[in-house]
Amino acid sequence: MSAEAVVTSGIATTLELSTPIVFGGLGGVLSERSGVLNIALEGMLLIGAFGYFAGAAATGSVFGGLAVAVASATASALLLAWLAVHAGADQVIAGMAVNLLASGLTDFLYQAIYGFAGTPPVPGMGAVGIPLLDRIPVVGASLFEQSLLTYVAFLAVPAVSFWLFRTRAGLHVLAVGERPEAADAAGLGVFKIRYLAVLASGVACGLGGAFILTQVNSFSSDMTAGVGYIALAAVIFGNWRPRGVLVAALLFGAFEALQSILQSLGLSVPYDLFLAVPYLVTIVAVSGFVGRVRAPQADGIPYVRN
Amino acid sequence: MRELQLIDIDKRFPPNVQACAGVSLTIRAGEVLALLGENGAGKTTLMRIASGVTRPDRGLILRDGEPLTLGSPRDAIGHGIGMVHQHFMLIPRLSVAENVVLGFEGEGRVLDRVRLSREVEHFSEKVGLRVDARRRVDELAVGEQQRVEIVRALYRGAEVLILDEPTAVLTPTETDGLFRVVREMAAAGKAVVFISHKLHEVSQIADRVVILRNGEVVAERPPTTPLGELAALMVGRPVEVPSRSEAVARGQVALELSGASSSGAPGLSEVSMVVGEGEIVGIAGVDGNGQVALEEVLAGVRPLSSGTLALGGSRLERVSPEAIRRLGLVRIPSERHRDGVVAPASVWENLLLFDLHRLGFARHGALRVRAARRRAEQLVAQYGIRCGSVDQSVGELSGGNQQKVVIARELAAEPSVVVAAQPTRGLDVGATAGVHESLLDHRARGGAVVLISADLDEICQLSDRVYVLYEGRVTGTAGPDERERIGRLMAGVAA
Repeated sequence: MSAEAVVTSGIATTLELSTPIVFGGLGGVLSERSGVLNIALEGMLLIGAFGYFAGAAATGSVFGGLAVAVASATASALLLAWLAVHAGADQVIAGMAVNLLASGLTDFLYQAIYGFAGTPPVPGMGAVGIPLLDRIPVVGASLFEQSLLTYVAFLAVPAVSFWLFRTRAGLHVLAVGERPEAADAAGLGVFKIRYLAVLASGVACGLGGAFILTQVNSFSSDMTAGVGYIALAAVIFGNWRPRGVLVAALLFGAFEALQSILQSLGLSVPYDLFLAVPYLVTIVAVSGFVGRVRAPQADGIPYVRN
Repeated sequence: MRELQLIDIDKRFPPNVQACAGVSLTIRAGEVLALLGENGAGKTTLMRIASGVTRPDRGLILRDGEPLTLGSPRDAIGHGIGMVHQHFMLIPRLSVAENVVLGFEGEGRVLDRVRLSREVEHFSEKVGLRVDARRRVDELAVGEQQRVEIVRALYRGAEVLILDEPTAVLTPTETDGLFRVVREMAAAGKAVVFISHKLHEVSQIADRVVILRNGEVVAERPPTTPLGELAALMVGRPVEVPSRSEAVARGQVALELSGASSSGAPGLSEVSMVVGEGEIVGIAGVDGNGQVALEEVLAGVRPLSSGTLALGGSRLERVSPEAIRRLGLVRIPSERHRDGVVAPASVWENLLLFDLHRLGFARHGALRVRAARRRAEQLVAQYGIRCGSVDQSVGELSGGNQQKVVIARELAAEPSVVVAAQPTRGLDVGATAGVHESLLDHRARGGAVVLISADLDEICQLSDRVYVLYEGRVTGTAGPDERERIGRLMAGVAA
């Protein structure tokens, strides 16, 4: 490979690998800013991936796939919201329950529906070039020849950031995530806001899951392979801010891309180590070496009205 | 609004706490009504009902004769009733302006922070309580936070303003400022309800004093009523205040801290103090000025980052809780539930928690249960701990009796130094007197006491000498009769 080709494919791969982390991370930010710890990103992404597969296979259309992906991931978010907000369950356990359920349920459904008939073909989402921009030398083809969902993910970052920090609704989410009893006293519907925030994280994970599926256009068991946990790490490393999530996702994506390039070049480096980078970086972040990250004060604590 | 009436309010908390039993009360515009009562008398519950936080089991709330249904604090504020809670309802990471307008932001989905800040500042100046709307609440001192709370209640249109123990977190100077504000609000036609258990404050600020006891209104009195009478009404019997005898001749130095600094929020910085045998040294200060750090440093729980700690004249090389306890220092911790008792364990287990080995109640790793229980029964009798039996779990006892368990255990270790941190917080008058008596007894026997308390009355009543903590530093020392000087030192003003 020429140096130029390496750079081009490096950037393209980084964006590709970052996309589901951005979706999952934005979902995590929305949910946790409202005070609901979201360990279930992994499971919700997986359900979104399966949803796309099933929806696209059944309808033969990309939009059918996206619709089912979003709907099914949001349904799993509803389960998490019910457990965490309504039932007041331990949110780590509730999240893990959703993850285990997602893993088992998608496997089961896949076997039950497609086990004998064989895997149907599903319509994928090819790269969409942005006219003119994609002709910029070196970076053009890598930045502006992406899946539609990649553009959506990266544009969602400033949008969510604006919504969270500049709008009235965003202020309410922040208030509920910091001190629900104070928000309640101010007349904000704590439960409703938390439900909606968790459901929004389901929508984001539905899109993220759809993206993961359209990378390969076929479903396989546990195909999210830990992206949800990396997204969770991006939430923490990004200090519960959309822009922080973006930085973290690009960083994590870049390390993974580097790892795969090194592997394809046949260099003898322990590339497995690069896969551990997101977690190592997160450990460093939470242990307070780089600046201060601080979770929303009521993150993970069920609100009980008295 | 002319008046707000609460009629025949009942509230019961399961399993068997009758917080309010048929309470009726009228709150009138233009006056300051003081609700006086001990902890647990039902003052706060009653006002939480009036402000929509808690729903009553029974009873009526009338505003100028119209019945109100208060399903939430928002309903209450809609009817002009606002409450400043003892634990502030502010969101630390948001700005003052955001806190003030939260839920009442006006039109528009997008927030115009500049406009909101300006509006909140204008409003705060108009009501005479200046706040810096742009600052984040967690950057403010407690007194400023309280101002934000009051501004917020007024911004939301409160005509009845309920203040729950508002002076607990204030310096004497800040308290004077608050009292001026309260008077001005009453003069402007608002009704102010002032919840307190401090007699002299009540007689200073109120137009009318209603006394609650065990969830019932027991009397209404003018503020000119003698304090002794108010105290007796509040407690239900004449109150004897244990008094400090003349100073015992000061003995050897029992405890010395020199140039001690530690972590914490705030931590200690360069604190030096000496405590002699046979004296009670009071540590005064507004809550959150390093008291927790001092308490934990003395108990060996929090390490010193610099400086030294000496007990009985010898400097400790390696500070650990065990070493300190062995050298005769015990602690009555401020966080009783966290550090003082093991709530699910029995009374006897709690009483002998630390000294099983030393007292010989354990042999080869096995407990001598019968002997231990006998010893516990002695302590229960000696300290008047009210419990069903020594097998009852401590968590089922009242706060006062839990504190007695802690004190009995700590004093039974025959310590030389007792560090008593907020020892009467949340206790009723009777239990408070008991705690004070125990500390005075210890002093009379030649023991040393470090009394860390945010209650200035308690400090002045018991201490031989007073150190004042402000932002983790000792700003000065004073005698127990120099209240004003202590007040200035508490505010960080060199006196």
